[in-house]
Amino acid sequence: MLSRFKAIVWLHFLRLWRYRLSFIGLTLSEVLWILLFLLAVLLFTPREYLDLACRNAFWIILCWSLIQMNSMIVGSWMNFFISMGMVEEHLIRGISPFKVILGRIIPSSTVSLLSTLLIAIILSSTFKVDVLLIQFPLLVLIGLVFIIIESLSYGLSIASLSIRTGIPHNFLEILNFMVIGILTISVESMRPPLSYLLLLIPYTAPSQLIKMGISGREYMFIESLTMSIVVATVMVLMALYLVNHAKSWLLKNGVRAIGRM
Amino acid sequence: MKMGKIKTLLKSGVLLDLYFFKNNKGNFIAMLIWPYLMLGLVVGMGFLFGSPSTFKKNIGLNIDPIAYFIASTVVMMASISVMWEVGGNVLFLRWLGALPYVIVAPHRMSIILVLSYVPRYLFYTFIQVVEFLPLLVLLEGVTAGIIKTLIMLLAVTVGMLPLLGFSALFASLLLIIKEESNVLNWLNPIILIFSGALYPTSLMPYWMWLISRVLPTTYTVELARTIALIGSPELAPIMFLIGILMGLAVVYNILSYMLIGAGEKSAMKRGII
Repeated sequence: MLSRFKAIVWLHFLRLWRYRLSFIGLTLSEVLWILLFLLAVLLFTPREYLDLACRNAFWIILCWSLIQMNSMIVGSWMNFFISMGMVEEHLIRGISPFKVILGRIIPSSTVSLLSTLLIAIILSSTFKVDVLLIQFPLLVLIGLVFIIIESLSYGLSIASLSIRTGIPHNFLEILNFMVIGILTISVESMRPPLSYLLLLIPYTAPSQLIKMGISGREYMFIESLTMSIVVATVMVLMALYLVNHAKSWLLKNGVRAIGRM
Repeated sequence: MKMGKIKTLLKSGVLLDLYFFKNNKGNFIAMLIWPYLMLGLVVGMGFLFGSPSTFKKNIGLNIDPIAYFIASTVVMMASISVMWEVGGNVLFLRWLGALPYVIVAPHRMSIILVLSYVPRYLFYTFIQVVEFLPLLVLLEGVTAGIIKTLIMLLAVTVGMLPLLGFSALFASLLLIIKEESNVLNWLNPIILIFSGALYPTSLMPYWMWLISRVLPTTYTVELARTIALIGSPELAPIMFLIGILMGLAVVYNILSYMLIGAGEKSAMKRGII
């Protein structure tokens, strides 16, 4: 068990090193796209609120980057894995291809971490804003952990669905774009029960925890934490169900790689 | 090149896209949703963190932020499309294993890249500009909405001419260098940043402004953005920008015609195709 785990971790670190230029390119393009949108958003902001707007926008975009990276790098890798004939190879050796796919968290978090650091450096040198200045770091950390768990579950669900059907990249990107819209909605602007409903949408409750951590202002803390645990648990269970379902489907029907792209 | 050959290439481009949409309806729907999502993201977040009046103050012009970003979105989509479909087409052809066939075809590779793409570009950008017509009509009224849509169509059509040559130049570069997809990945956003696609070039540092002057996308963005000015757009700045785009079209297309041959030779010499 441990040696299989080590092999998967080693595989992804080795790929990360061998394709370092690709990953650096991906990081660079991620940073540039985020900056492109961030600069546009900041055009609307009065100079006196630039600091606050910059920090809020930065953290929202960071959450989106994590979600996007996990769904794209983890979720859409199954297509590549099937095309290379690697699913059968792993099944024969008794290793779940989904465990290998899950290891993609190594490159995805590396790209997210690098792009976050680069953007923080650029923002602090250009706008003199310290985006990493937060009131409750622990809350931000808890929020980020939940975001990662939810987005990984989403990525795994996509990977298991893509065993049976091709997932168009456009749709993945559109879904991710919609997530940004959800992340920007303020829970404080809504009254119960609407605010509870909003917290039930994936990623919203953890992003509320992050917002609290940045501003230091508590609002619906217990509710946000509870909803984060509930939604993350549901998403993990759903991903596990889909993975098991996809595995048994694979063993019965085999891998269909031709004509599926 | 004979007229009949050009017609054949254009016809193949049209048929390719018609069948692509017929067989990929999901992609077609995604293509329609995508520009509205980009616009919604920028304008939505902008309104959340600030206000239209601050936007006008920061830009220094009396403009409508929604029309401003409609123009930006349209030009961004068009530029990304040209860069990937002309510049990046070399990559796709190489990955498919079809690049050697295209190179040994009777037409020059730059001509194939550009001509087979023109119908697709016109088709896609026409759809993407026209899909903003209802929003512009809602914002500006029927007559102004239609006039502004026509100006955007003019901008993306004239803007295409230098951009085709510019992208073919990159195609030749991609034939020469290694790790080409990495280059293309970050080249697109960097060109859009320098062109002032979302953040105006007038607010950039001087060195960035200087670079923006040689990029065809800068003038396409500026031309499309005349629709954002409140009131009727003036003819003189529109004609001036069209003149610059035409001049750049001549320069970039001549350069690409000369350099793509060098790219092909280099790729064949190194056996990378």
